[in-house]
Amino acid sequence: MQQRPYAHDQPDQDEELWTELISSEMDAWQPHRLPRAFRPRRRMGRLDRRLLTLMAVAVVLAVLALAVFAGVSRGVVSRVVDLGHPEPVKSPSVQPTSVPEPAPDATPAGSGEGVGGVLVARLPGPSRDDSVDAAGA
Amino acid sequence: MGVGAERSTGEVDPASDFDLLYEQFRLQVYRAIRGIVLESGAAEDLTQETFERAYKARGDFRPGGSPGAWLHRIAVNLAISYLRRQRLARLVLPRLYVPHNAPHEQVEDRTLAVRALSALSPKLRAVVVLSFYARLTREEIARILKVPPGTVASRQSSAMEIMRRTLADPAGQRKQEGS
Repeated sequence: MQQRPYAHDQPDQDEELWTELISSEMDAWQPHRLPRAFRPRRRMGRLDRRLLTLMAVAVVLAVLALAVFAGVSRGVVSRVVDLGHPEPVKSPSVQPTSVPEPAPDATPAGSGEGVGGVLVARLPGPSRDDSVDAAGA
Repeated sequence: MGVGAERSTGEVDPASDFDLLYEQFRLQVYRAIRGIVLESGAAEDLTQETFERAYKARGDFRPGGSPGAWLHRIAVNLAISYLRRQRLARLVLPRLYVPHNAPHEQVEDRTLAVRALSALSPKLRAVVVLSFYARLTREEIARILKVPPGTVASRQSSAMEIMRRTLADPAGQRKQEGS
């Protein structure tokens, strides 16, 4: 039986023709900007990454330090301003009127009143014994 | 000259001799990409990107494999991705879309091959370029495009039919020349 070469070879012939046509045109395409030697773009190395991380940390720390310093200095300034305009210090001895001063003999010893009351009542003035001592001296 | 022709001159190991690989495949990769995207400027950028990626992944290249097929896989993927992005840009931002090529270049480059390739979808174009220009085997093309070899064969015959009709149609030619 005779083989039919045409049916089998036709696709190959077509492919050859297309290969010829496409290759001949595509081989004429020349790039204009493509470099002749390969030059990889500079990629970020490990060292660069570390440096970048360190710089980022340094920037964050600097910002934090500035913020803290600004807060502290504001506090210091306010303190200095306060020193320039002192407020009267409130102490219990300045306002003795708040606690009524009982007469030394009015309250009998061991009457059961609060200890604090007795102490506050005696604080403002020198005791009678003290004044006697002072006079004697 | 396709990849198949290069193969006879001896394989280049991308890991140890990337400069030689670039020198050997620079034009082929550029032309293959240009055959798919049909824009010279974009093809140059994508060629550079192909070699950048290959350089980065040169350690992953398996010795004994074909460096040409390996490079073409990267190139075709980049080219098809580029065309997808372009299509999306045309759809989403039709007013802002600017073609990569100068207008004079678009007219001058309308040779037979370009007219024929222009009539194809990117997938068919990739098959045509890889088989008729890079001269890769069907199995290699199938691996690159991640399709069965039978699909490569059917795409190739569809592409040839479309190209034949395109070049045979004078009305199509006039329309192309008039544009």
